[in-house]
Amino acid sequence: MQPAATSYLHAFLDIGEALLCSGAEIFRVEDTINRMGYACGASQMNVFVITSSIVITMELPDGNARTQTRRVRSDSGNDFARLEKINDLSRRFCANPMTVDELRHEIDIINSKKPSIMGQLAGSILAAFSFAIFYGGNITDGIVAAVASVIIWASQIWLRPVCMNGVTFQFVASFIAGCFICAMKCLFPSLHMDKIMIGDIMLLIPGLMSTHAIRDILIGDTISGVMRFIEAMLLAAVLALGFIGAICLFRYI
Amino acid sequence: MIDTQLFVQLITAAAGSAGFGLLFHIKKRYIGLVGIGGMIGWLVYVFCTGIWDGVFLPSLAAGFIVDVYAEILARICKETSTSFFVTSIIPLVPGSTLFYCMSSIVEGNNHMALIYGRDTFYFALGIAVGMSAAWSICYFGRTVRNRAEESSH
Repeated sequence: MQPAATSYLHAFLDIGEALLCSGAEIFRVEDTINRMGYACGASQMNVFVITSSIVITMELPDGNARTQTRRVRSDSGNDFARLEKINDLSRRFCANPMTVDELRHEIDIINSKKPSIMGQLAGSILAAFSFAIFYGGNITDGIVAAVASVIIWASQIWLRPVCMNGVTFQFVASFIAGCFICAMKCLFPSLHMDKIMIGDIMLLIPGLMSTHAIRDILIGDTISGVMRFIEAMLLAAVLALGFIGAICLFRYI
Repeated sequence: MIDTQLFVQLITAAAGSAGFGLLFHIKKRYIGLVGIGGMIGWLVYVFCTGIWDGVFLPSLAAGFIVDVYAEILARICKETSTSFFVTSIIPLVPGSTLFYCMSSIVEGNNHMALIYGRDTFYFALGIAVGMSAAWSICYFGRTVRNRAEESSH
């Protein structure tokens, strides 16, 4: 098992990254890698995870130690099907450690399955429609919010790759959606612009991110919590700026 | 007055949570459960606003109950509690207070902007504190049970 330790370490980094990018909490990532390390024979595992980096030091029974680091750059998205699969894989691994090749093969299979964009479209439409009505709009408001959510979904697919980072994209997406809603309001004055905007803000708002940030701080992952909190504040500010920009633009036209 | 407004809100809260379930790629068979979670969260929140003033305590209670719900489902379905919690808590995410904070800024009404901004923060804080409390209680219970099992062997 000794020569394989380094390659195990590499697989653990992949697992950690996949977990982080599927919306797992920091403590879950650290806990999973710890358990898997002990399961394959490490005498001590030192795992340090923050939202942007993973550091693993694995001490082996013969006194050697190996360290590897991974910089995580992709945005933390949410993909719970993948989260469950990785979780399941780690449980099976801890109960009955497999070889590195088998582990790597399973990780590759899990990572190759991307969530369908049609499912995301359906989800966005349903969520925006429901929340526009939830906050007091009528059916027409819901439908306009649903159309605006299609715009947000489309910009997520086509504009996100060309934007510099998540913050820039957030501004562009909220500005475009805001302009569309204002234009609809000009055409059909009976619409409730605030309800429609709230419905679409629910799709973009980093509310979960700020909740996670506060939770991270409360349970002791302070660095990650602070990083995520600042990012969430920035995203919320930029989201507000995008919608304010659209409202102001249409006020002057 | 079991009003139609609350009824509509409960239905749309469930639909909205289910929508986010799709968006976050949760397994298809859990989407109904997630919708029920969204409904429970909003019901607890509305019920608690009748008892306490402000938004902090009601959102704390809702965060607590939704996390307990998610932990129970996680045990039954053998999945992580995160995926149930995150999607079920969505109706409590303070999108409307953020919007009204923003529109108050546009109108130059700094007083209202501050109030709405504070509420937005209290919502996020309340949910996080509630879920952390529930999570640590569940963790405590699990550890105690494991210890008891180990000592009985």
